[in-house]
Amino acid sequence: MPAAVEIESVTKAFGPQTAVADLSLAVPEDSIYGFIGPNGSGKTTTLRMIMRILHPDGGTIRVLGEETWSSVNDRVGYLPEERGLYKQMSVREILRYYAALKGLRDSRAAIDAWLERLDLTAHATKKVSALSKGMSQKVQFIATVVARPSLVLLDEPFSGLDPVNNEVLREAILDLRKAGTTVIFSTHDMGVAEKMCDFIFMIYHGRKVLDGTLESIQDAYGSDTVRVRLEGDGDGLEGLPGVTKVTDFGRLQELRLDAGADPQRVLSALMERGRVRHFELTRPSLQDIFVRIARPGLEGEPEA
Amino acid sequence: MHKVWAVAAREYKAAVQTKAFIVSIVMMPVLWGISIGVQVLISKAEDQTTKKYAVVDRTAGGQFGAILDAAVKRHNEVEILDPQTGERTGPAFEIIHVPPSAGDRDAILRQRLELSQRQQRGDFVGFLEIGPNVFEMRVRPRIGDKLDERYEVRYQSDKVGDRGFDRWAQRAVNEVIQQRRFVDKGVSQELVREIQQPVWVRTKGLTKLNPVTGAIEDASDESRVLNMALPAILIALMFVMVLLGAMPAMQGVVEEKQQRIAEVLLGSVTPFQLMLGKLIGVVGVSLTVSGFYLGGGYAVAARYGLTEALTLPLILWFVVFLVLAVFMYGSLLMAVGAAAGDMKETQTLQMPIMIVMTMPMLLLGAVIRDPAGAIAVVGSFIPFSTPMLMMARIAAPPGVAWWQPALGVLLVLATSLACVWAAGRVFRVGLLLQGKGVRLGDLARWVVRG
Repeated sequence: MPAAVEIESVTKAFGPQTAVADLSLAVPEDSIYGFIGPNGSGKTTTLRMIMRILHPDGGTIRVLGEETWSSVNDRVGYLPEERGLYKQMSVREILRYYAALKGLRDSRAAIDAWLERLDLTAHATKKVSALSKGMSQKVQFIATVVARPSLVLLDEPFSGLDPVNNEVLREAILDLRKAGTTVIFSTHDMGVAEKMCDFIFMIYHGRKVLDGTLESIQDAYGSDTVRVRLEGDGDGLEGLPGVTKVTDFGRLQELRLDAGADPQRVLSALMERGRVRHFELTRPSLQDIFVRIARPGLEGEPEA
Repeated sequence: MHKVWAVAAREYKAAVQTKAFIVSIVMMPVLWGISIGVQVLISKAEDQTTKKYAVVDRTAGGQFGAILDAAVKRHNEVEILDPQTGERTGPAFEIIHVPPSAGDRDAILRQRLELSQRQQRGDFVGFLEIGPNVFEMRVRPRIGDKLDERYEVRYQSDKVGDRGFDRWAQRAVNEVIQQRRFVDKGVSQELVREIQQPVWVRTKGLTKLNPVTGAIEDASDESRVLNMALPAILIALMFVMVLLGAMPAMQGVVEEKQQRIAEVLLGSVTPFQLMLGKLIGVVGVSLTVSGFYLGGGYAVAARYGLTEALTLPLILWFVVFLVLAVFMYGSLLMAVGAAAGDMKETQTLQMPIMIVMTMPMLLLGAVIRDPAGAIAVVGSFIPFSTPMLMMARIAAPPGVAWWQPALGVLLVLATSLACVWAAGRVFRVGLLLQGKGVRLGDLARWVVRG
């Protein structure tokens, strides 16, 4: 599959601080690529470099097959993490302006369709300053996609949205992919990343630590996780043989097993402590993998 | 280029739709009118006052007493009245005669101190001291000769702005002294008065040939005023127009930075396109306001029959230089906006630009007095002052040869391009930089390193 974005050995530093170090990445066309990583790990810097808002100190970035930006700029939509809308302009005005900046001269029909789609038609003539946060976020999203880009970069598209708007936006993003748009988005919501992304990329301290499909990432960690529910309050799970960590989710407990620990032995040890209502041997969740990488000290594991 | 025009159109619309814009179009002429009116009223009110001055007459027997009283009477009853309307055109004088101290140095100094203190208390505006030997004729002292106060009249005051009395006193005292000297030489006092009768020197502009009727038109009183005022008005207009357009644009850039709109924009246009679009928008704003003011000015000029001064080439040069000035200063101010984190920070960073911008205003006097003089010519070829000073020189008679403003345009064009280029680099770095104080040195580094 041809790549929508190809990043090769890209490095970017701000003064003494290295934001991105020797990063290589290929985002296939027509895919949804999730960027995850703790705050300040280099996600936004990477997105800005793809957008040529920042220039890499070294390495090359090819977007939609082109190294020169002017030829592809209009085919790439960008939703920055911090939303930026002119407060004094009306919704329709600002959408027309942003569409014009993407080279789309007659944007009326596209704007109307998107406003309808995201339930904003009634607010089209309102000033941005009169919109709620969720509404202005949706306006910003429309501004990103109104010019029918082949590639969209969404920096934290779901942050601050209520469940209903979250759903609306999720459907819109999936529809974009169906229509042939490649989507890259960053998120802190591991559930969203697991459910939506074809590929997941994790950056930590400016370096790539994960890159691939969810399955391939989870496979690399193996089936070392047991989810159990015991009758009663589930206390007293510490000290089970072969268990390195217990995470209590309240109604469910997650046990991480030692490499080489036998799940059968864990089960029998559990049965000695109480009635087991649920026992499931599974792969670690993305959330768990994320935390293992980003909190190596607390996890007692080496930094990946 | 389509994107540049889209940016320009948004900037223009955003600027002209604000209340501030409408207010400035309407209010500025009103404010100017009010400030001129207030000044006229204040000077009129001052004309109605009577100012007191102390006089110490050290001549033997106080020979000036009666003579000065007569001169003051003539001043108050004749000289300050407009011969046509009878209106007072200046303040009246009142003399307080102070007996002179003893003639030794100490006593004289003590009296001067005492009078100085009385002046500070407000007893009078200043004091005149007439030396004991002023009537004596002596050879004009050569350069380097020691001054002798006994042969002089001195005026002391800390009211530096009060210029009427010392000039009047110099004339009045000298008339009296010369009369005395003539009379002493046997010329009759009446004859001296007749000889001393002054002749008016009337200052006018130039006499012109009317190209339509072929008649010779003598210079009007107003044309001279216009020769003085037009360059000043055009300079002030250009200064205000640049600021009126560029300042809101600078604030706009700060806003875009604070509201994180800049990042959205930079996802679609290059910093240079963004800057160029904004500058074109600012030019549009400045030209719109100039259109209003020049139109209004033309209407006023037409009312007084002075439209010949506002020629088409003059207006065209104004437009050309205004556009260039907006590009030159506007790009620098926008770079400041991009570098600063908030409006307060722009205050410090824009200082050097404001100083350079006000330079031409300081040279205005010299340029109007002598538009072809060295200061005017050199000043009008320093790119940062060219738009304003060249404009003033074009407007002041006799004008300048066509190649001078043409060369000026080339110089300013080159400088403007350099400014836009440098500002574009600052723009790109500055726009994404958040929450860090920026100093002028940083700006220079960004220009060099990009």
